[in-house]
Amino acid sequence: MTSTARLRQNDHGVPHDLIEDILVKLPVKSLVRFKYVSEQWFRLITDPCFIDRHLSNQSKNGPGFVTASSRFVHPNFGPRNYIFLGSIVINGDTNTIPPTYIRMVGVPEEYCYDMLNSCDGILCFRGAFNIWVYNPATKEYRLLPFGPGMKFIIAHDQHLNCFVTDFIFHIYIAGPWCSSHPHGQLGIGRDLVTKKYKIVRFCNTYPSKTGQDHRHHDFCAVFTLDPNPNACWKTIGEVPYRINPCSRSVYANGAIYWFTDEICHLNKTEVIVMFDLHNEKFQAIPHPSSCSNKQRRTMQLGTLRECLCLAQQEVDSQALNIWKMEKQQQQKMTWEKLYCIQLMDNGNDPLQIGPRFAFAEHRDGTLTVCTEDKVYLLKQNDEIRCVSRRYGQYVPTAFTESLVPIYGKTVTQIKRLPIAFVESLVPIYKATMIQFENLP
Amino acid sequence: MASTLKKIILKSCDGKILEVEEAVAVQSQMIKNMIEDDCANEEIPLPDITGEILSMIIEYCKMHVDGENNSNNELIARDADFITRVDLNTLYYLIVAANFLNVKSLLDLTCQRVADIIKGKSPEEIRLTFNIKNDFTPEEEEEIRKKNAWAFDYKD
Repeated sequence: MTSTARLRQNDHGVPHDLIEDILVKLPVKSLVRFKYVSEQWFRLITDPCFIDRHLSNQSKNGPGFVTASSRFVHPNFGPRNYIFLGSIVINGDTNTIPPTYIRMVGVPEEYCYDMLNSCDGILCFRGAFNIWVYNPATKEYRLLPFGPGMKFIIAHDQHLNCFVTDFIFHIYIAGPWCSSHPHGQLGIGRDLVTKKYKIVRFCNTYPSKTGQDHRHHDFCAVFTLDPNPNACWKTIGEVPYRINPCSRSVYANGAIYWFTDEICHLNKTEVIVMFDLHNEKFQAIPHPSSCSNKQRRTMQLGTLRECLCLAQQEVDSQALNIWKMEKQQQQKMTWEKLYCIQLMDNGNDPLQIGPRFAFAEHRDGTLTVCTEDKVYLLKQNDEIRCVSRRYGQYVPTAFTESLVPIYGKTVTQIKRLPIAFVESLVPIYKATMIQFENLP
Repeated sequence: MASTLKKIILKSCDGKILEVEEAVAVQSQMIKNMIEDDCANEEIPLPDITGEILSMIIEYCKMHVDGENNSNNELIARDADFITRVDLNTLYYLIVAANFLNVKSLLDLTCQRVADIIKGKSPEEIRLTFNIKNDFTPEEEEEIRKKNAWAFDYKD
């Protein structure tokens, strides 16, 4: 048989390893459906190596954002387990998560669930009592257990606290509206050695060693997301740093980062704290020397190019500077300035971005800054675009769709919102942006 | 440079002989390795690649060598123009050939194109397209379908 004849006979017979090259480029929704093409495809699509390959391919295509809120749904009513979720995907890529109400059956009702950081497509939510994780691409969620045998105090503010007692442990709980920025207390990330995902949480023993100061926590506990349904929290021991409860945790490259508390943390030179998810140890890292300690309120951590980044708005000019942290040899870190952005409104007044924002880079070089109600698309030597949303107050996080399993259940009640997410693309803002280093 | 004018001779499985400039041929990592190992002085037989597919690959490589100084956006537009002219059946041969010759960017481009074509299909259509036998029992199939019912809503 000649080779041509062999090829003809083999019509559509693409070798299996090349099928994999094709499948890594598919969106998650198609892959979930294609799981049941055959057993071989099922094995491939659920294989951890394939999931990682797919994930890195997705992040190369440029991350989008997910915004979430549970407050929006019923602003004045009682406990609920709805969240409102929307995604923003930039530059003509498909909008993979349409704006939706999601009823988390199996998640207890609470006054409010807040979205914390995200890692590899997994979002992490916390209410006053419960913590759960959700992969919006696969629609899988998992409610994390309390720490059995552990006595937690989870508190944010003393003024509106209510006191809850359980048979096993006592919990000091923040009221529903006082914890507008509870991000500092929890974070999700990936141990790059074991490849497992971990949720890190700060807690206190009861009675608290810190006395009246419920804003800060002495102990740290870690939950590993693995298939074991009876998995529980593991205490790591005392936290040697005072974490700022209002700062959002950020995951980058095997570690979670927080700001220290400006007032309560005594060593003023320690501004950023790193938690290494593999050796489960804390470490303070230096921040850019050109960035003053006093302006911590104007700073925000984020991730670009798999490195920790620090964004800071200058108080007088409102210019937004973004630095990237680079690990040198022997744990030494240096900071490099990536961007300097100046936003102006119609009247050419400097524009403030606000305290909560997320940022990401698209592969075509567009820097995207997502605030609670607006998305700015910035490109060097190009006009700035701004997408605004009619209903505000969401928590934004940079997000990449993934197949990562969290060993939970699948959400069944999802309602599309046909109109609530009106977006308009208006080139009304002026901006200057200096990019110091091009994308690799 | 003298070396860029050197020709590499490629022979397809149906006997077609193509002379290619070295600068174009080295877009293929496989041929590049052969040149480095000094094995490319005679014609290189390519057992599984037809003349038609080989000319397409050379066209693609040429386009990338000529367009080296063009902007990224121009290259993306040219790639898109090249790939949309190819039908699904030819795409499979291109994928196998790009893989064999190790032309990374073409392999990416062709796989992405197939992915774009198949992403909205049903599992039944996929089985037909790739000639795959369904080896699930009806019960297993029902189970997976039930669990992931949302993914079978093709609206987006």
